[in-house]
Amino acid sequence: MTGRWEDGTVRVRRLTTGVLRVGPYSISAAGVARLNLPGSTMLVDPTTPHCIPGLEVSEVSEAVEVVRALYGSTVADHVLDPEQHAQEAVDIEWVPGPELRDLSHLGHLIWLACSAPWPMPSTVLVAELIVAIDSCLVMLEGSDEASLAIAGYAGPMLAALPAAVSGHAPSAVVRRLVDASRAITRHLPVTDAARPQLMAAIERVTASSRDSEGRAFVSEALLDACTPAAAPHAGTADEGVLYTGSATAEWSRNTGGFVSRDEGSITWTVQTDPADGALVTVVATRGLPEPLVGDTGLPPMSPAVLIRAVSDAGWATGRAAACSIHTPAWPLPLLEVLLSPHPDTGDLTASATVRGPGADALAAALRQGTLVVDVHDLGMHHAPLVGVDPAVEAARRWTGRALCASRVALAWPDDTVAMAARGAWTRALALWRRTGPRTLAQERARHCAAWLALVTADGDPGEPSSPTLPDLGDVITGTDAGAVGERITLSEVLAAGPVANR
Amino acid sequence: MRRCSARSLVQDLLRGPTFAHFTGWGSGVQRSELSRSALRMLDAEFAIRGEARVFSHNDLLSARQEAVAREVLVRLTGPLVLIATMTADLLTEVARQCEAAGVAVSLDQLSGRCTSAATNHVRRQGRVPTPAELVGAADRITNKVLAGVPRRWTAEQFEEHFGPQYDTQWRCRGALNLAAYPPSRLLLGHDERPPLTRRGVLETDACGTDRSVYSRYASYRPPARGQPVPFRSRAARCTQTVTLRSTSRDVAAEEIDRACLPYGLEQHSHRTVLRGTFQGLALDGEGALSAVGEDLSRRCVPLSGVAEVDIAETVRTVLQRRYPRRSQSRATQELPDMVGMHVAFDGLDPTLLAGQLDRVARVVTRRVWKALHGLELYVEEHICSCSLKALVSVALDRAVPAAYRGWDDHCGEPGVEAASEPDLTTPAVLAATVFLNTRNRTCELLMGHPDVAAALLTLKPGWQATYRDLVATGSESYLSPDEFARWCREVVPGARWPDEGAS
Repeated sequence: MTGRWEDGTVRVRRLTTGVLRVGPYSISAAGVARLNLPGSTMLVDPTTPHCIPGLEVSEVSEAVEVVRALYGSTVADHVLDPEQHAQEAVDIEWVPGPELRDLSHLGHLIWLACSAPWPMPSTVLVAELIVAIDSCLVMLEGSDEASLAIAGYAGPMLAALPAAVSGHAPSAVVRRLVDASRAITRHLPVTDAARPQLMAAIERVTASSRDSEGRAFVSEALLDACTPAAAPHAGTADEGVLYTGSATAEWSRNTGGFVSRDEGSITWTVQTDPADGALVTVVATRGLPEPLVGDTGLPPMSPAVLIRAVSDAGWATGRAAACSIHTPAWPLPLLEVLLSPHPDTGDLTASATVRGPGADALAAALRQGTLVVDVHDLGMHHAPLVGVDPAVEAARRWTGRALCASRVALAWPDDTVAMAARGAWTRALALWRRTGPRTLAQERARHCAAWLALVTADGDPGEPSSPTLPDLGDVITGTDAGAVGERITLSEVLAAGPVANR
Repeated sequence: MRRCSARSLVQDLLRGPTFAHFTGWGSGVQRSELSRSALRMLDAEFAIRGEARVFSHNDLLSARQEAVAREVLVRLTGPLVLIATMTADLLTEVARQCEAAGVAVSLDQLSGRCTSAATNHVRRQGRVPTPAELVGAADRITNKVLAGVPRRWTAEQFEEHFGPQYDTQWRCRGALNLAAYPPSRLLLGHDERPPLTRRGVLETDACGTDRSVYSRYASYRPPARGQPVPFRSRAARCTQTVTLRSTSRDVAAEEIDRACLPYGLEQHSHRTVLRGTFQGLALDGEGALSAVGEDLSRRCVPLSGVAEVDIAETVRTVLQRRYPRRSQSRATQELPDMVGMHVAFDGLDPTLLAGQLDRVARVVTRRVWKALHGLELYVEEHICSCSLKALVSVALDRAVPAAYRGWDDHCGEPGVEAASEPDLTTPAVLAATVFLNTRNRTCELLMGHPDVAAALLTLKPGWQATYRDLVATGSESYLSPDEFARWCREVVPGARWPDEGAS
């Protein structure tokens, strides 16, 4: 099984749960994007752009037309035929539907919106998402909801279009905003007041835009993210016993962008006093600003509405950040507190006192080195006793950084970016080798090693695939480099360019 | 050699520069509609040339078929450009007429009819339409569209027009129904009156019955001709008839009525389905292994007169197939089966299936609620067993990854505007601050009573009485039993489902 786009066959496997998987299994080394299709869910794995996305069919009768359109009649007939289900896995000749590429592109954009390691220009990303969703609307389960979601961006796009022109945004950005605006006009009711305004704005922008290119140097955000650096210190105290530590804001629980996505961006101190309990102070480095597009930044937009219309995985995010303090000896958080921006630095801070038995538990956890300080969007629960292994979370973050840096390096050869990518892959590789379950971690390490070999040109392509996970996509090779570089999104290119003052 | 089908060849042609002007974003001509016309013409040309018919447009073409198809498509390019041109002209004219009539339609709703009219004209006449022919065709399309599109209220108009009616109806029966059928028992939402509108925020499936009445009303979009009816099973074995409801009825007033009924649903049988679904999820949560009713998932039965227990068994069967043997004692040994499968998540451990089961149930029941509500909007018939099975199967597969990310049970998310700084002044954030303080106090109280803490945290039978005794002095300062139970089930491994008196 290779799962490559150019393969003549595609694998269909019947899982014991009754789910049918068409295409390769996603190892999710950097997470996956999920797209809701009728009766099925498509999983787009950003670490395997050379492989087709996998489709997991929950209800055959609902999904059969989608399978037919995306993979061809032979695959659809096989999926529909109950007798053939007796065979666990079959490789079937397939015909790729043109929408499969569109869906794969949409999935990558969604992954980027949720898991980009450094700030993306949100307006450009939203424009790319609108165009991508519009391209494959007929394939999506909630096409009505997606249509409504697209129409909802009329107002923000009305503000973004003139801002892009006045800020001398690169022509590619203007073109993308115009494409998105045109798509929006198609989803707006013809009587909507915003429609003629948007059409007039498109005409004005098209008439006044000139060819210009932005970006000349590598973003500091990219380099910093791939290089662990010290976070601002939470402070010192003169008396009592002072404990300090640092933590990272896990990306999956911090989608609001308030806190920096760099490693170790949170520091904390605990000052214990037998009389007063324990004073906890937490400082989280604020999230980086969006990159400049042209001379200035565009008005930011949230892609959450679009993502939620086409995917179930993007759930609630709050408009504030909170911190919870945990000890493994007690399942509930010892303390939960909101973080507020510091008036001078803009970093997010909180300070609170834990008293009574909670203070004792805190002191014990400090002595044992088991205290967990978690910063997350308000509304997200963190439950360390039932959550994902923190080592896996860290490995996934490093894979995400390495992947984004590598894509930039492949699209736009630059020694500095390539070096940053190499560093991040090495880190990700080391972390995956230390995590479990073994088979899955080994496979992830294998994919990381292949990417590392791609960016270093002399790396070790890794060990052979595990026989216990037979449906995995093939690892990336040197022949895929060109295709990956060509398909880089505009948002990724812009995010690797100059940034605003921090 | 690249493999291709008739459909992929047509799509390649339509994605080319010749048609980019027509099918580009915002031009209004849908590539999918044009593709349908092209395939119809391709089939006809195949027949005229005496070529064997291609059974399916998605079938792999032989070398000979491919050569013929490519040749035919070259000949069809001219007529297809003509169709695209006429479609664009028709869209402009029909949109102008609809705008003049003050009817809110989007171009997507017109595109199919316009492409179909243009295709018929070009295939019959083979030439550009005269202005009179164009206007005549546009008039016919506009009349059909105006007959089938209900009036759309904006949120402001809706609030102004229906506010008093909603208040009256809620006083008459809404409040009573809420008390008699609390949605929280089925994890559908809070036991509060749904707001009439909720402006500036996004409302999704996750809201359940907390969704505003306007948002429920605005979700109605009559399906265009040839489109499948939302929330109806497409299974071949589905034997139920489909009768679309009249699109010219007063959907807004109907929704106000419906919002004041139990669980915001009109059909009694749909409420039974909701309760049965919840019971089915709960039964398996307890690790029940023996059947409690009849499994209807393998045949098509209208659920209008089916007992709740049979619906529960149907859901339980689907659930057990998805997550085999979920009970805590056995899940550990099943773990290797789960890892590496479709969920693709690390840490898919027994605790997800026990302690965080609420989230899974919440996702599933709210999706079922949305589908039942949608069915009441679109069709006359009740839900059938194969529709329910399809709904629950898909919802369950998507629920685990969604449930894995914990979130608070509140409705109304930020909209399209991105916040660059945390906003600590919104009512939701201020309320959350108070709530966090309450949680902190409750945690402190529990830590001070280690003798009962374990029983309370794991929601052992009788925990409510113990908890009420514990918080008796100053109960306002601590979480209510319901809030406490929900919190425990979110974060404590092995916290049980609530027993009968818990909710």
